[in-house]
Order: sequence, then structure tokens, then C-alpha cells
Amino acid sequence: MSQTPLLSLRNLRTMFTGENGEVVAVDNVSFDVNAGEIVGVVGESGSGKSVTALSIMGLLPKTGARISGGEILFRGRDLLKLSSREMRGLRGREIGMIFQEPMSSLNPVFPIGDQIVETIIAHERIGHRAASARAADLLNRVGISSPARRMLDYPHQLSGGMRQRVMIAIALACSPKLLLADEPTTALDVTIQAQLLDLLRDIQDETGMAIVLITHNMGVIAECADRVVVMYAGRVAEEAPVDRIFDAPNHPYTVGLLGSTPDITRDERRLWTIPGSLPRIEAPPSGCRFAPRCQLAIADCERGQPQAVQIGAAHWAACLRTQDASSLGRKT
Amino acid sequence: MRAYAIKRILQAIPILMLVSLISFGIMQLVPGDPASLLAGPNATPAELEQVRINLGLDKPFLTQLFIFYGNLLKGDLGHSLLLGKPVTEAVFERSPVSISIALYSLVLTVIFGLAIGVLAAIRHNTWVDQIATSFALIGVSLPNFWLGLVMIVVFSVHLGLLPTGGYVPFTRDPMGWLVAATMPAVSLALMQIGLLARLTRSTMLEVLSQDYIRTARAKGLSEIRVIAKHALANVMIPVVTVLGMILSVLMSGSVIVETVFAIPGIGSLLGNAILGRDYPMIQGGLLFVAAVLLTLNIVVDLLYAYLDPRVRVR
Amino acid sequence: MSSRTVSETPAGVVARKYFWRGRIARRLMKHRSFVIGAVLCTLVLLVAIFAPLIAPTDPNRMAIRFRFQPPSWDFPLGTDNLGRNLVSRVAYGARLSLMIGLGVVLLNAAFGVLLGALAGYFERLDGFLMRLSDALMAFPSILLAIGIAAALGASATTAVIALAVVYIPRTARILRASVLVVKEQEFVQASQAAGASHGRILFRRILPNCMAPLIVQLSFVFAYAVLSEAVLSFLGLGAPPTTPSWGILISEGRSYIREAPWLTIVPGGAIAVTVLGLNLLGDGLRDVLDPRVKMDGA
Repeated sequence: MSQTPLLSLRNLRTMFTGENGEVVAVDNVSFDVNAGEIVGVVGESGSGKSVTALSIMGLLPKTGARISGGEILFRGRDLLKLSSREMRGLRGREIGMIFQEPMSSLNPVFPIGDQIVETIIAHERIGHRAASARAADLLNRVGISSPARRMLDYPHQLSGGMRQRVMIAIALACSPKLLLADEPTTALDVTIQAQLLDLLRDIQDETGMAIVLITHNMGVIAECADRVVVMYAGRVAEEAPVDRIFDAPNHPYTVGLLGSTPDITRDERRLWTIPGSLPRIEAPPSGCRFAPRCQLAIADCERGQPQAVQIGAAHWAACLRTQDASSLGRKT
Repeated sequence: MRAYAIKRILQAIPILMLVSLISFGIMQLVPGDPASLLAGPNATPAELEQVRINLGLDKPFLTQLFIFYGNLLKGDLGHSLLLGKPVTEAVFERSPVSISIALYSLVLTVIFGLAIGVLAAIRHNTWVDQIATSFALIGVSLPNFWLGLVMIVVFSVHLGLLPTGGYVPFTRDPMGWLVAATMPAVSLALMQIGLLARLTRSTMLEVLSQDYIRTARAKGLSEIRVIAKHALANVMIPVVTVLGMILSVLMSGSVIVETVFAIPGIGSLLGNAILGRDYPMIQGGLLFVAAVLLTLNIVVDLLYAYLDPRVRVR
Repeated sequence: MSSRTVSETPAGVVARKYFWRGRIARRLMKHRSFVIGAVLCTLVLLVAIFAPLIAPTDPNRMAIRFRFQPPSWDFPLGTDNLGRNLVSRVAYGARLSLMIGLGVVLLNAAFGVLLGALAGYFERLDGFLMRLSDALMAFPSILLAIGIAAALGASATTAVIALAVVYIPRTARILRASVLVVKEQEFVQASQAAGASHGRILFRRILPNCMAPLIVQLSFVFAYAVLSEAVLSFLGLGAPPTTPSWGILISEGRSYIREAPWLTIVPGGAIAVTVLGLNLLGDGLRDVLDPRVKMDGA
């Protein structure tokens, strides 16, 4: 693709201060998001997905976390070089974000209408009445009926799915170019999950905004994403178009992730699980971080972080044994 | 909301009855014969008997209790022995003084307690936080009457800025009232400022770690708006619940502080009653203050319900 | 504690066993406010214990020649209107204040624990006991103490009783809350299923696991007791005027506040240091023992 990407992470590195010094939560992460596409970021909890999203938003905790390297280019501008004032102007206006916990993400003491309206007013020269009208439209758009009445409701009067719809309405309030959705459906019932994913896709179709969809659920990825970034222990393991990820994974970890996802279309005797667990962030393995759990690991894997190798069009994997991995993928 | 209010008021009735029972019971604790204490060592048996009849002490316990409640329903708290007038009259004369000082203290407490607590929380783990928490801790550790005395030494004796005591009604001379009431109010308020600052700080820290604060920031609101609107509205909920307690401590603290500053409020009324063994006055005064505070607590609870939509809207 | 079966020794009980030796003690020693508080409290305690050694003269010995001496090399804290040495008086005052504080804590703990445990364990008693505590708590604490002390007549003992009574409902409530939580835990229900008596379950299974919040509460009760004792003494409702309690020293000094402000300032400072120490101690204990209310890593 020749056009400049909407969002481009370049060697992003985010550190956290733990009890025993600094640890690297996001290590050398690079990927692009083009206008109008849905990029799925997938990985286990603790793989650095959410930290990546918070780094983009500039919402890392003020103490105990810092971005120590790299660039976050949004429409060509490095967000890390912006003042906090400029960042604030961007948040909610050009980049919206929705979170995993719909139950606690809305302020319990304000009516939901107010929480949408204030977002609009914070970014635009607009009267309260016009902002209210738009908030009602937004609620309508995200599938909440009789929005004018609902606007006066408090969060505790709504179900989890409804609250997440309100969160989406807030995120869409100023028609952002990019939406970061951090596990938006994880806390919800399966049926509501599907409805919300449909809603996100519809809105994306309509508005042409880009979405970064963070999830640990391969099913969600399969349903929505155009492209997928697989993260493991703070690093990008594999990046590929969605069909390639499912059909021809080239990183043993991706293979493992797919194997551990239930799939009713395949007749399987049992779920395949990845042996072991995520390495402790304080003491990561010296070489490839997946090596201790990888059934293909060889001595070289522990000798240094494997470089991403290009496998096909827009398909990279950070593994020394991509070929064997792809055959492993076919076997399972 | 209305149902909640009614429920809350109904709940207060048995408590009020128990409160009056306790204040009645306190007087039963008086060792020996209160009548002989009151009549003095030189009283003749006939005089002693007269005092006993006046106080109703000649009747059996349950009858006394019955009469006590009967009088209470008529609004009769008894007759002061020292002042020679009904307890209610004495209390009503003095209460505006105490209430004005308690409210002044309350205003100081809320303004400074909130400000210090919020400041400490938003500058968590910095020197600002250190100073604020140290100040709050020292505040909760100083005896208020002693603080009053130290302030007299500094501001009245050495600097000659403020009077050592006395009182000017607000209605007569607002400036005079301010001058006279400032030291008492500050010495009353300091400990409560410390308490409120500690509560505010810990609540604020908790609130700031909540998801909805992250949402507010993600919306691109200014930090001032995030703190002043989104965080503070949630911090106010627990703060309001302790306001009743704070007011109660301020009212009762006035017993001592009014004595220190020679202020003619309910506090010094009770203080003098204690020194003069004016038992009906002590009993009635205690009951009055407890009833006022109980009422205030209901008001505070309703305010709390109003502030928290999870309670209000049901 | 007799653990006949493994299932009856849950994590909480094991933790209690190693309470003072293990991790908790180490964390306390690392907690800054706990250490400062412990140092201050130990200091005051040492002064109280060794008062006869610290005091240069008898606290009641008068020396009219030296009346109203401001603090100096010879009289580090000055002398009062009768030439009594304030060092001696404040040191002996520490004894009285700490003894009254300790008395309040013990009496308060005994009744608070008993009533709180009964209310928490026996649902039928709960309503009545809690309404009673509501009523007691409707009185501002210091006023109730004043009322009780006034009725019983001034003495150190009545001060102890009055202050203990005032804080019993508060302590009982805290214990009740913990009992309600612990009661529902599996090892308690296992004991019940095994047919253990109520007394055994309550005193050997539940109460030992409710100690953390109680210890925290008692450290604050101690602080309030020292403060309130001074108030009672100041109003003439505490120890008799011949004993140099800190509150009495302040109330005596008050008459000479113009000529000899140190008579007021010094004993109040002693109260402040003691209460500050106890508050710091309590904060530290709460942070380490009672993680529910711990809100930051400071």
C-alpha cells in the first residue's frame, strides 16, 4: 500500500516500574493501521495489548509507567512529541477508545446523556442543545431506543450491553478517525457480544474509521478483523491478513492460539493447549520469549530475539522456524 | 426517594427513645443520693425530703421513667437547679451561639479538609502529598482545647491580634462575630480538617484509579474537569456520610472550646452544669444535643441519597 | 491451637500462627509510619516507666523560690506557680495518661469483643445490640463520656469507665463486621458440620481470625482515650487535682497563660506526641494487617 498509514507504531517500548526495578511491558512493537481497516490485536492477558492501546492514547498511569522509545505516528505526527494539551485535543476527537469493563467505565453519578454531551462540548464549539440532539442521535445509532428518555438514565439503570453501547456512543461522539476497542465484548454474554461486534462493523462500514480491536478471542478476530497482529509477552509474534492467520499461521504461538480456540466446524477430539504459561515479565527469557513453551524450539532460539521475516504479502513472523511452524499449523 | 426518607425518619424514632432512656439512665448512675448532694451538707431531713419530692426521686424507678417520658412528650426537659429556669429555655437561649460556631467550623473543615485531601491525592507520592498528610496527621493528634490555649498565647498575648475570649452575636455585628469566633472555630476545626483530609485523600486515590476516570480522560476532558467534576462528585459521597459525624464532634467539642474561650454557648452551659452538679441540666442538655444530632444525621443521610443516584433512583 | 485435621487449619489460621515472626512483622518494620509511631510510643512508655529516675524532684515538691521559672538549663521545662518542676510533673503525668489509656483499651476490648461477637454470631441478638449501639453512638462520644463521668463523680476510674463505654459500640461494630465475614468461611462451616459447640466455634475458630481489624481499632481507641482523658481532666472530671495528669497540668497552667505559657504548652505537647505516635502506629497496623482499607502503596 502506498498511502501513509493512519497510525503507525515504530519500535514502541513501554516500561513499568515494578517492585524490583523497571520491566519492559511493550518491547519494540511496530505495526500499521490504515484508514478504514479493522486491525485485530490478539494475545493472552499480559501480552501487552492493553498497554499498547493506552500508550497510543497517552493514558498510561502517570507514575510507574513510561514510554522509553519508539514513535507513535498518527496521520504523520508523532504523538509522543505532542504536548499534553495537544494530546487532550486528540483524545475523544480523533481517537476514541472503549474499554473492557462496561460496568465500571461510566461515571455512576452522572446521567449517561450528560456523559456523551460533555465529550462533544469538550471538543467542539457547539451549544448545549445541539450537543444534546447529537447525543440522542448517537444513542439511536448504537441501538438504544427512545434515546431522549434514556439520556436521563444513570449507568446503574442499564445492562452491561447497553452500557457498552453508551461507551461506543461516547467514543463516536466526535466522529474519530480511529477507534481503539480494548476487549469491548469480553465482559458480556455471547449473544450480546455478537450484537456489539455487528454494530462496530456496521459503524465502521458507514463512517470508514479505522478500528484497533484488542482481544484474546480468536473468534472475535475471525468475525471482524481485516488484519491481525499477534502479540506475545510484549512483542509482536506475527502479523498477517486475517485469512492468512487462520489458514497459514507461521509462528508456533499463533498455531497454539488457534489450536486452543474451540471451533465447531472442525471435528476435534480435544482442545490443543499451549504447555506452560506466559513468562514472568520481570524475568523474560533472553532469546525468543516463546522458546520455553515452544515445541519447535532449537538452541538458536535462546540466543537472541528473532527478527521478523516476511512470509508473504503483508505477512511477517518473528520466528526462526516459520516453515516448520506452518506445517505444524496444517497438522492440527 | 420519598419512601427512603420516610423509612429513615421512622428508623430514628426507636433510636431517639433509646437515646432518651440512656440519658435518663446516666442520672441513675449518680452514686448515693443526688438529693443530698443537691441540698448540701447542712440540709435538714425535711429540706432533703422536699428536694427529693421536687426531683421526683421519692417515686419508684418505673414511675420516674414514666414521668420522664411524659414530660419529654410535652417538651419538658426538666428544670435547671443552678439557673432556676426550664432546661429547654436555657438550651434555646444558648444554642444559636454554639450552632453559629459549629457551622463556622464546619465550613472551615469542608473547605480545608477537601482541599488538602484532594491536593494530596492528585499529587500522590510527591512533597505536596507528604506535607498534606503530615499536616492532617498532626491535626488529628492535637487536643483542641490545648490548641485553643496555644492560639491565645500566640495571637492574643503575643501578637495582640484577637481577643482572648468572649462572643458577639452575628446578628448584632458580623465583623465582631468573625473576630470573636475565629479562634474557637479554628481550634475546633483542626482535628476534623485532619480527619476529612485523610478520608478525602484515600477516597480520591481510590476514585482516581477507577475505570470511569480513565474514560473521562479518554474523552479528552481537561484534567481539571476530570478531577473537579468526575472524581470529586464520587468523592463527595463518602464525605457527606461523615459530615454528620463531623458536625456531631464539632458540637460536642464546643463544650471544651467554649470553656476555653469563655463563650456563652451550650458547651459552657453544660460545662457549668457539670461543675455545679446541675443534674437536670446535664441530662436535658445531653438529650437535646443528641436529638439535634440525630436529626442532622437524617438530613445528611437524605443528602447522601440525593448525591448517589444508585440510592436515589430506584 | 489444636488442629486435629488438616482441613481445619485454613490459610488465615496458619498466617496467625506466624503472625509476629513472619512476613507481617517484616512488613511492619519496613513501614515508615509504623516505625516512627513505635519509636514515639516506646519513648513515652519509657518515660512513664522510668519517671522516678527521670524526675529530678518529687512531682509535688514545691520550691516557692523558683516559681514561674521559664525553661532553662536548670529547669528544662520550667516550673509552675508553686515552683514545682515541670519535668517531674510531665514524666509522672505520662504514667497516669498511659495507665488510663491502657485501662480504657482493656475494658473496651473485653466488652467490645464480647458484644460484637455475640451480635455477629447470633442473628437473634444482632438487631437489638445494633440498635442499642446506634443509640449510644447518637451521643457525641465526648459528651457521653462527660455525662457518665459527671454522674459517677470525678476520679481516674470513672474516667476509664466512661471512655471505655463510649467506644464499646464502635469496637463492637468492627468486630461484628469481621465475625459476619469469617462466619461464612468454609472452615467455620466445616466446624459447624462436625458438630462443634457454638462457644468453641466462636472463640476458637472465628475470633482468632478477627484480630487484625481489632488490633487496628484498639490502637486508635488508645489514642482517643489519651486525648479524651485530657479533656475530662481539663473539665475537672478525671483524676483528682493532686495527681499530675496532663489534662490537669493544662487546666492548672491555663490560669497563668500570660505569665507562664509553657505551663500550658508543654503538657499539651506531651499529649500531642503520644497521640501522634499512636496514630502513626495505628496507620501502619491498618496498612499491613487490614488490606481491605489499604488504598495505596505508600
